[in-house]
Amino acid sequence: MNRFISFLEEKFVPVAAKIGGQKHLVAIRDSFASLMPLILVGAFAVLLNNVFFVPWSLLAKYIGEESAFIVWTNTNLAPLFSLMEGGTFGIIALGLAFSMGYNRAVNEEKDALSTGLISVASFILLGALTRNNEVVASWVTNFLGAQGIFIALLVGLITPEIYFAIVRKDWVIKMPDTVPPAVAKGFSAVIPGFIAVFFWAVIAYFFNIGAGMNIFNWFETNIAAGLSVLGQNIFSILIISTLIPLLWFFGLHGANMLEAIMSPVYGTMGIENISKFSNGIRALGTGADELAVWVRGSWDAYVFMGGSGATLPLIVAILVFSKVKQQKEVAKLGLPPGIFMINEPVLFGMPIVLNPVYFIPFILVQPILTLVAFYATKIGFAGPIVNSVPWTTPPILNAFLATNGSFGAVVVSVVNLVIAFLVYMPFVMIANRYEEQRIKEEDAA
Amino acid sequence: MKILLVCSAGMSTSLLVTKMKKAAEEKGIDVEIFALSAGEGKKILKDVDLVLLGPQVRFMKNEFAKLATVPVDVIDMLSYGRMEGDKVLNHALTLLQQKQ
Repeated sequence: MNRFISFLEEKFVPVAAKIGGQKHLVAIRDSFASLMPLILVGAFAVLLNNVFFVPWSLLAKYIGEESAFIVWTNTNLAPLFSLMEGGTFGIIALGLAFSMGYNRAVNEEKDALSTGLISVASFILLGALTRNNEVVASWVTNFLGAQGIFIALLVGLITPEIYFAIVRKDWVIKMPDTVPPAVAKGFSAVIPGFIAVFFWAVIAYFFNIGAGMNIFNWFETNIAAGLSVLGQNIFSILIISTLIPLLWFFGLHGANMLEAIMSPVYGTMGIENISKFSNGIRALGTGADELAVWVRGSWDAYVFMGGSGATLPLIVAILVFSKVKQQKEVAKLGLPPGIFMINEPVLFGMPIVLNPVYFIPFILVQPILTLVAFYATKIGFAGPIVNSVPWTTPPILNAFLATNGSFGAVVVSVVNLVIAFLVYMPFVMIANRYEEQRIKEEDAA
Repeated sequence: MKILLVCSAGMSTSLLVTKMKKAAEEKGIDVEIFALSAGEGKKILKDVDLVLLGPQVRFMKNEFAKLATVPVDVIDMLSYGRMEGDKVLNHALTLLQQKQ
């Protein structure tokens, strides 16, 4: 075991660290994080509607959708919150285009605002403002929201490169010293900006001639469906679920490093689920008019029970079964943050990191929980995730709110907590026996 | 003296911040300590005197070192896990003194 771990540490960790520090992946990760204000406001507005004010809300399930309260709120309050959803989730791709330009510039110490604005300009000119699809998600009339995320990523990655390349070549209009700096700065942005936007104008032109449609439509028609199927494949999901604890075992923030994939792919699916649910879609599947089985929030609701590696049941197992004083101390310290899905105290304090005793359960538990939750959702036992809840929401409550009140989801959460507990239990016993051994050897010495 | 702690979302480091502040108080040291997410932290590097990264984001060290003119270092794993505010504070103070 120790040799295996050392081998991984030598080969796997440096590669992982390099990937984690790769500047474009970092930009993607930072850019999605920057969108938090939009995501949180939109999520809360939708949550209010889905819990209280619409005919299919949790409240309506109890007091009836014909009740006077629901009829009133549906007419007078729900549209208000829908408007808020439209302004926030509805421009997530637009926000991302700006955010990517901005964050890349921050990392390269270039003009962040200009880069952000040029990215937005490029995004818009490619055709983000109109969408005319009577077949799929017909209520969405532009590509500013979830439908535009991948193009926004593309624009956000490429535009800054062009912009910075021109700036570095110093092909800028230089003003004489007598001109105020702010004015001079504006002029210096002209050539790099012009070239970057011109690049995209050429791309847009060729898409119109070659494909007869703009890049957004082309992507939606040809690539989006395949990407959805790939993302919703259980193996893709399992790979992510396994890589996360593997990275954490070496003390690297697994979810953070994989966020560059998780957010664009599964985060977008999550936002689309919310929008589709609000528009009456209930069927499950990978199609564009179906609710996705697995979204970004699925990990928070069913897999990260107390944090990566499902450490909350481990904490409980230690408090119940452990005879190792130090581990019990750490478990006590880790319990309050653990309830809110923060587990660095346990990971680094126990430690779980680089601790051979806990390697096997730590790596295994997430794929197991993923399989259970995935199939429970696929067969319809647990409702799909149609709300965005803060990732620090405690287990069980998290799944309940995220699925808008699915009892099946609550059951799956509880089942997963029990499964994780049972997976960790034997290893807590093993740790006990190592401790007994150690004490015996100490006493003998 | 301003010390910035950085991790992924700024959550686990904020736990450590509380412990460090307490340790600073007990020692009578006047220092401002706060925690931010990586994205946010990068934008205010000009305003701090020291950056400490959570060990789980140690792969960000080069990123931050490139952008900052102040010392950037990684917090020791065990001290971080056990939230040993006094140990991390000592580490921070040593780095600040070295700079001077």
